[in-house]
Amino acid sequence: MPTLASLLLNYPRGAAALSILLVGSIAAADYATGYELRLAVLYLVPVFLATWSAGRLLGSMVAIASALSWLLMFRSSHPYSEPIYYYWEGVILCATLVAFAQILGRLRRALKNADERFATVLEGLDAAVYVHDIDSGAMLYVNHRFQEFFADHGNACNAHQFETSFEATPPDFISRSVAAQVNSKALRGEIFDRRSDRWFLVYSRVIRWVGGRAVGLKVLTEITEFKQAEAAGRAQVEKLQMSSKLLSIAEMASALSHELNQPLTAIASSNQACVRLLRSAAPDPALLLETMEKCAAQAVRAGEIVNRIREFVRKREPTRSAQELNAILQESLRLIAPEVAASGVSVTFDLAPGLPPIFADAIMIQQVLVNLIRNGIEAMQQTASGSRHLFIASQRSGHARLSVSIRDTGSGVPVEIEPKLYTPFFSTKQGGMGIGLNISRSIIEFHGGKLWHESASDGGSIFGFTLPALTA
Amino acid sequence: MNAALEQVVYLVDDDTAVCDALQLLLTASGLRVQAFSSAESFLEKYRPHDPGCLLLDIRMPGMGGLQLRDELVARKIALPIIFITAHGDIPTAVDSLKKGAVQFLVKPFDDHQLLKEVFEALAVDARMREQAAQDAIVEERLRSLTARERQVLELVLAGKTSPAIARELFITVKTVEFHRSGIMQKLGVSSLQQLFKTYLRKVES
Repeated sequence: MPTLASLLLNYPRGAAALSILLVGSIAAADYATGYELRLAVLYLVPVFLATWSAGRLLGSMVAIASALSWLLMFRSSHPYSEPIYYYWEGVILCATLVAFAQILGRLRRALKNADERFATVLEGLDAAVYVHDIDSGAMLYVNHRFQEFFADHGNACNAHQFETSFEATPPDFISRSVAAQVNSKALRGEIFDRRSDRWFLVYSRVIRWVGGRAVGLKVLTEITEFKQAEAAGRAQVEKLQMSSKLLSIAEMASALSHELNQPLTAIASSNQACVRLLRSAAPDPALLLETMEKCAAQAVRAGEIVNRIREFVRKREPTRSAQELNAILQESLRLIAPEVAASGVSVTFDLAPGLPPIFADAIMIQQVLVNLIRNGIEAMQQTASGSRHLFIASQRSGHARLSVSIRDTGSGVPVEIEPKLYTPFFSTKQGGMGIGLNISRSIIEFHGGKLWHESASDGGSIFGFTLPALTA
Repeated sequence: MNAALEQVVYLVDDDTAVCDALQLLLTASGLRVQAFSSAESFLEKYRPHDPGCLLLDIRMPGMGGLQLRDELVARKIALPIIFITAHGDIPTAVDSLKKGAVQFLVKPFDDHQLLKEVFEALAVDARMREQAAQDAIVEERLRSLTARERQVLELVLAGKTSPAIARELFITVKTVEFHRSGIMQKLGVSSLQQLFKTYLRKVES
């Protein structure tokens, strides 16, 4: 019947013509069979045909036509005792048929609306939807979006072949989705379409289809943009870390070359002195021994410096864990101790005791601190050598936040520089890359804190940042 | 060379290990060395006119190497300087060479190179001191001339003959000759050639 119904729906004019023909035939048959065999009930067929195919109006017209033809045919074969009975019966037939047409028409409209709503929703979805036979994999239903997405996909007419042409996460997602039970919880997975470089989020469940058999229902939502954004975000973080490492390396390289060349010079010169002593007429063994021991100590010193660089530079994932802020501050200062010493700056710590831990990547925070301390030192190059002081303080800042401030006694940030402080690749330093503060700020913000600066009352500048405390 | 025996290599480096090693190396090469761990302590100990050369680290806490050089210039102490630095950045090197540093060495360095520079600096120092000593004698002798003798000397050095000088100063040729022999005697020169060589530059300046 569904096929006949759809045929009728598709050819309303043919159906209307067929119903008129049927009315004529029934009338003729009724006339031929005479009074005893009443065929009036057969008029339901053309009325149904007309109504189902073309709607209530035509159905009602066919109903009236049927009643008229009955009146016409019946009258000729059997006169009633009173004509009023005859007309009365005609009116009843007409009313019955029209009512039938009306009811059927409304039913048809309601069904059509329901179907349309269903189709509109499914076809209007951004998701691709398909229903398939579990055993054969034959597609039972696909929506418009599915056809759009996979128009050029060779295996789109068989679900099993279609599904195995993707890379799925988790890998056993497809097979599990086929083996699932009716009405069990929907399975969730992701597939990647290598052909079109698209990612889909797949919801899969087994449902009862028309006729009660179990079928697979799959809903595919495209998540390519989300995936790309996610990947871009990851790449951004990685790049940030790499560039901040590169920056530290570039800026530390000169200081470290100085630091490393000191023991090397001591070693080379001691060694050369030993050679000269040994070549002399009467070498002094005690002096030689002492010199060689000093030599060894300097080699160890050089090794320690190398280890410290390696520790600093080693490529590592950001690992945030509970950290003591004060310990990070002290370690950062130790990292650039040679620079601090060479610049003649005195450093004063004012660390609040008993601070709660922070949830941070210690190395990244160290990078920020090294950067800020170095900026402070460089800001004091023009300051008289006796009054170069750097004050590093840590304290609680409001609820569940810690703050660090680094104050120098330099000449402060010039007003015209201030707006450009965080601009990448802007630098007032010869050979500076101009991304130190920019990256520092990114790192602090990555940790959920804020980086700020202000002028100190004595003309120097204060750079500081806040970090959220780790609360239990 | 009496001066060479008195010459001292003044070594200024804040890194004790480097300081020790260089002191030993220079001592082993037969040089007299005085080591200082800061520019300030060097300035305190050093007496002007002490002969030698300065082996100077650029980066030091407190007064740096370049500042010390400026201080020496201000005090009119002409001690040849060899800058040593572990921080071989070019701008610093160029800057110090422009200011007349004798040499610039990047740590770590070869001992032959170091000693070559040190000996050269000491030679420069010796030359400068000899020159200074001679200059002092010349100044002294020039001061011993009378005003008239000084006048005559200037005209002689200007290439004028005795009769020309006599005409210019309204004196007799004989008097001019008398002054000339007095000048030669006071300045300790035996020939006109020697007179020109030693005093031309001095008198003009």
